[in-house]
Amino acid sequence: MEFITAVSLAWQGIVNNKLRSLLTMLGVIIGVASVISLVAIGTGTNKQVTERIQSLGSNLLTVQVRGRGSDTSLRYVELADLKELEHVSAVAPALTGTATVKYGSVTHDTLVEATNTDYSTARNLAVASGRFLSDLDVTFHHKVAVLGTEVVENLFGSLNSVVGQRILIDGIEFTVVGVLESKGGGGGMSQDDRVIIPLTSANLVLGGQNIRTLYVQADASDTVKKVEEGLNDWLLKRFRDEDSFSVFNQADMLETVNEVTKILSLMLGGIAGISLLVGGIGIMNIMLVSVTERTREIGIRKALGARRRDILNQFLVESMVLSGSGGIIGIGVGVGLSLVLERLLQMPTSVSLLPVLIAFGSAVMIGVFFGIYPARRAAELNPIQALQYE
Amino acid sequence: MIELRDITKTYRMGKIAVHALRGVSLEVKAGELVAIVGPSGSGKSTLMNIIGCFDVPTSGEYRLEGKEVGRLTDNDLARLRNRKIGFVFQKFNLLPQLTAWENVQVPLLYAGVRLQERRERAAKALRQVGLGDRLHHRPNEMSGGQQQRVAIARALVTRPSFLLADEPTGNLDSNSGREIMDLLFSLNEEGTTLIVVTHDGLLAKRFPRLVEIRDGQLVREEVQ
Ligand SMILES: Nc1ncnc2c1ncn2[C@@H]1O[C@H](COP(=O)(O)OP(=O)(O)OP(=O)(O)O)[C@@H](O)[C@H]1O
Ligand SMILES: [Mg+2]
Repeated sequence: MEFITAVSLAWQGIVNNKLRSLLTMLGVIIGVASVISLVAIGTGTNKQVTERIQSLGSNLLTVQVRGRGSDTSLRYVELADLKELEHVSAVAPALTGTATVKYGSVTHDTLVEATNTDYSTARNLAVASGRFLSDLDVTFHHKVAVLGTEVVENLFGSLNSVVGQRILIDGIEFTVVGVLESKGGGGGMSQDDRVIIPLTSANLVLGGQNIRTLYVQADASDTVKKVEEGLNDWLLKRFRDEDSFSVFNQADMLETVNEVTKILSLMLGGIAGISLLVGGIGIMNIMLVSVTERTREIGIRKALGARRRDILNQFLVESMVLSGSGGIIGIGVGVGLSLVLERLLQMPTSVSLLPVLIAFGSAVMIGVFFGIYPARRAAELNPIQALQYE
Repeated sequence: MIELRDITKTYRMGKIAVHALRGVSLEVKAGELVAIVGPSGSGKSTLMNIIGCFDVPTSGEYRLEGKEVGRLTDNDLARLRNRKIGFVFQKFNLLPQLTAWENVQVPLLYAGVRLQERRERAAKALRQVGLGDRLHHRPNEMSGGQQQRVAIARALVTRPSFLLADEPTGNLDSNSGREIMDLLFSLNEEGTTLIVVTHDGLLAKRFPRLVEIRDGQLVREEVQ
């Protein structure tokens, strides 16, 4: 019997029994949909975190200083040595704290980062208007500030010429010299809600110039390791203790994130896979019922010359079409669900072809697998007994 | 040509053995018209099932067109049922979810005939039994006599050498019963061997050859 005929026969059976077929498929639909949407969440999260990390700057090393005894930080002058290390293209300290900024009568609480010129290259920051901090700003303790777009929106509203305006940061007057390009990232994780000032002006706002965080950029991706070693040597010499500082490599961080999200995706996918399996058992159940109900039909078909194989194929194709239809509906639901999660709940999702294909393929395979037993039962029926069945 | 020699059939139900056939020998030549009569439970259907290759005898020899049926595999038997034999049941045994046209196509499906030809041949068979205008009716939309006609169309659509009918008029009123028998006779006139099981003594008289079976044995043969 041709495959097409068998499929259209099976399809007729499914359409004749719409509600039952839908209920039978429900397990597969839920299984496929959850595999697709959960894996989409996993991939989406991975993508987002990776982008975040990369947007912090490329070929970046981050130094955290804990210090030893009373020697708990670096001073700005010391950093000049680091800049001399081989393959180092930027060295930027970062002193952070929160402060209240004020323009006219409008106030806004934000994050203040005190640093130097290199910060813009190391952290991958670009200015949309005006300029970034200059070396002179740092040398002469200029009270200037570069603002993130969110701060600008909050303070100035729709005002266009922000550069040159004077604002108060914790009561100290600063002149706005530039506005950063927006980096995006909503949902309480905004990278645009920040004010950047020269390190040397930090005393007044952040209460000191003690550097505990430092960004060092290598000039290429294959020199990062070398720079990391040089940095470690220098810090070891400076503090004489391995525990008083740590150096994070961005590449290592990415790898860790990838590993974690991969495990997460697999776990989510696996859990969803179990529901797919349960869907398969549902199909087997309904197929067994169907074989019993249609004993007489099987008897008639055998009497008219159907071989075992014909009956076996008929029921296998039927459970395959059942699970396949469930799979197609499941793909629709899963993709739709991913979009809804992204739109309404701001969850990062990313639907890719491979998991969709794998989920659909497994659904069909499960249909075949769980269809084998009922189909064999049907094929083994004795024609006379099947015909006498009421 | 059908040759049965010393056919027995024993059903085992736990410890009890039911001897449905005890040594039946019968020959039916091509083109013959044979009636099988006998009381209820005498083994008529059992014999027909064996002749129709639905069942195999417990012992004895059955040759169908020279081939020993007892040695055939399940697949071979299915093939014989499909190609050589048309079977008409007392209870019609149509597939309720299919139309008359689709029902008649089923045996062709298993014979590997292509869709276009299946449709043409099935429609022709239905016209032959006088149901050319009922192609799209489902069994529950037809009278018993019409359903049995569909069943006959289904039996003859593969152009079998043998037509077997087990009480084909058993579920019909006398009028449609007569029509069905006339139809079967006309098919025999066109050359198909026809064996009919019947309870109806009057009807049996219309057959040139009559075989009576009692307690699983042939007790009488009449040739008119
Ligand atoms: N599957 C079976 N299992 C056990 N016994 C059976 C089976 N089929 C038939 N028999 C027995 O075999 C005997 C012959 O049955 P069969 O159906 O051939 O009778 P019949 O002549 O066709 O009767 P009727 O005229 O009522 O149709 C009966 O005693 C019946 O009970
Ligand atoms: Mg009977």
